[in-house]
Amino acid sequence: MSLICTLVLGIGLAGISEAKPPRWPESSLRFSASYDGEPLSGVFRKFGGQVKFDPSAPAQSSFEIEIDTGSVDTGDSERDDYLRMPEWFSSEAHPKAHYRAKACTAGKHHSWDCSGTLELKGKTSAVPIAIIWSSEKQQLSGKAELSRAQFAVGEGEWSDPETIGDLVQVEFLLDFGDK
Amino acid sequence: MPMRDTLDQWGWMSRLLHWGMAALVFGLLGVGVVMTDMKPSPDKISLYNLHKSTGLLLLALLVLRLIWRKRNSPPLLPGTMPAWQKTASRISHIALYLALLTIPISGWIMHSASGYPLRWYGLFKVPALVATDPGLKRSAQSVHEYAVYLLLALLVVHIAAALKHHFKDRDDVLMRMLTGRNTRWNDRL
Repeated sequence: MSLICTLVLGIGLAGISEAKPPRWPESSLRFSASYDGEPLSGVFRKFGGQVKFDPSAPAQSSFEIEIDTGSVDTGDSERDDYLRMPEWFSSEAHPKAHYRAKACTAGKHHSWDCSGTLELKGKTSAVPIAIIWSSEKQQLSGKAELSRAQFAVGEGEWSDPETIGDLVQVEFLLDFGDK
Repeated sequence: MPMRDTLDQWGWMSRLLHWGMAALVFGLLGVGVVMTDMKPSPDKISLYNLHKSTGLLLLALLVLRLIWRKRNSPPLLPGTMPAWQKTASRISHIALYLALLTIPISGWIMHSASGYPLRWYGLFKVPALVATDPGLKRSAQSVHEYAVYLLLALLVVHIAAALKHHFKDRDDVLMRMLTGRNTRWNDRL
């Protein structure tokens, strides 16, 4: 079936059969936390790595993403400087976070579920992601939800989820187009 | 005790607004000094949220007060006051209102431009006036700070003038704002 699709549509279901890095500037990595009950979002300006994802062979997928924790940007330099401090991302001691996933399976509504792990601030924990592949745009978009407590992001009095909630939503767009 | 102002007395509404806002202004000044010196912590966030919520309350009260003032002629100044003092009083009160308007609005802009969300006393979300903008935040911060210095200077003049009226001129300007009665004026009549 996929062979027919490929023949008929030309590019068809083509994925990323060889691991390759996401392209700039279309790729992005955003997060949203809750601040006093309201969302506060930001991005990581620097990240990179290699991704392999082919809808016809989802089990052979691989994600190797490296995120520069110091590139956090919430639009306010005072707040960003503080997020780089030891209580939060501790960017000096832990400049890089890594996301690694090995396999994806078909999920609901043309999405894929990939099981992977996030290594952040020296702690490693399972973080599944849900992705959507656009073969036309050659773009992967996805999201995840994680607990900041599992990675000790926000230590000491910040570990209380009252002011800054524990759950953080992550959204990313990885572009692999050849334009 | 009348709610509305008369030619020689402040009604209770004007006095409530005056003293209520005075208490809030001094509270905000104190909290403002303490909170900016604090190291980041959840308590600091709580104090900022209290400062911001109260600043917005003060802005709402100021609007109410300006409307009230527009619809009520304030009591007349003592006839014994020289013309230049009446002019100075007029100018300094306009300046006070302008400072009290500029401070919460620049604070609201500074807050919005820094991208923080705010729930008013934790009750409902306050809309952002502008989008996140580091340059605008710095400008609004300068305006906020300098307007506070201007307000402090005006308050010194305001309080000094009130004391001068009471102790030197021995008129009823201070007493009628404190008690709503104008004993000295009545004595003279």
